[in-house]
Amino acid sequence: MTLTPYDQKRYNRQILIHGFGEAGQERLKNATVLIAGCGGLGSPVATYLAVAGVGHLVIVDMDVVDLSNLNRQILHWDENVDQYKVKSASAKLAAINPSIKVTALQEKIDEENYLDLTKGADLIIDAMDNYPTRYLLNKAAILYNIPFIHASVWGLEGRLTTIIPGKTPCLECLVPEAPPKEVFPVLGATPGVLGTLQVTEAIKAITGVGQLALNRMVIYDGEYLEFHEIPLSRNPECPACSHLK
Amino acid sequence: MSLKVILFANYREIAGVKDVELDDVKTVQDIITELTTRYPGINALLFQDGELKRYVNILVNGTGFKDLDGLSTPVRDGDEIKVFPPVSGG
Repeated sequence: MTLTPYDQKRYNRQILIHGFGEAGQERLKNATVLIAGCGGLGSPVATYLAVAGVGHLVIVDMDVVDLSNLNRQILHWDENVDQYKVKSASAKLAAINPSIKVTALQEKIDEENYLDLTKGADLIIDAMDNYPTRYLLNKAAILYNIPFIHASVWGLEGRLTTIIPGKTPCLECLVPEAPPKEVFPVLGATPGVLGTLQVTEAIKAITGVGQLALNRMVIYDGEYLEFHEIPLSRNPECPACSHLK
Repeated sequence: MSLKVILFANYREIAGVKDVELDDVKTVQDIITELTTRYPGINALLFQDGELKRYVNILVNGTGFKDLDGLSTPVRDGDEIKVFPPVSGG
């Protein structure tokens, strides 16, 4: 799909970015991004992908909006409490950018459906709150050979790395067993930071601009506003990705 | 001998402090032992059946300890150690 005059004007400021251009915007327009989760990370991710003009967003979330979500899940408002998150989100996104397509799926991602849900995506964004589901998304990314942008948050701290199957460690290389699930403390601005970093990575992956955060975990320490990095390498015996050479 | 250990996320919360200065530690194992002695609550987060959990990340001057000599990695005065738990929220 080529750009319309509406697109050229709406996305003018990013088209001006060096290396981006109309070609970059066309790549965004023709891309399908799967956003797994529509909560703390998913809200800023979906919002910033929408305003950037990614042509098709597929948002998957099983939950209803709870009052305790509203300190951080900015796509959901008081009037949406007890509504399905995907319904709340798709209504907002349609208003934010009516020119893109949003497919909203109220589903729990599990062993039965994870491959169908992710089929056709050019990229998967991890906006999950638990590792068992993250592992399924990781497997899907490996099978379909697509980028998987992992992030997680706690308090004022967050992590991010971009996974390219066969090229970087996969999620099971990095987190070989799931930590216990917990009610985690979190300031809304924390997934705000990480979600926008995930979008930055996604747009770079789709357009080819810049350099991805590969083979390194970027740590955002908001408590002191410092950034750290963990160098990462593949586990040669990883059960998920060691077959990829 | 004094080195700096920086704690993150829930390790920092349990210790109640971000930076810990340690003396008389010669290996990464010594650091872990000293941390669990000073902050006993951190034990359950770091260990499973007596073994350090596989998702604990420890950097010695920016390099992962598993890429060095693991828990036997020698450490010395002026080294900077970072200890990261896994984080799962979203």
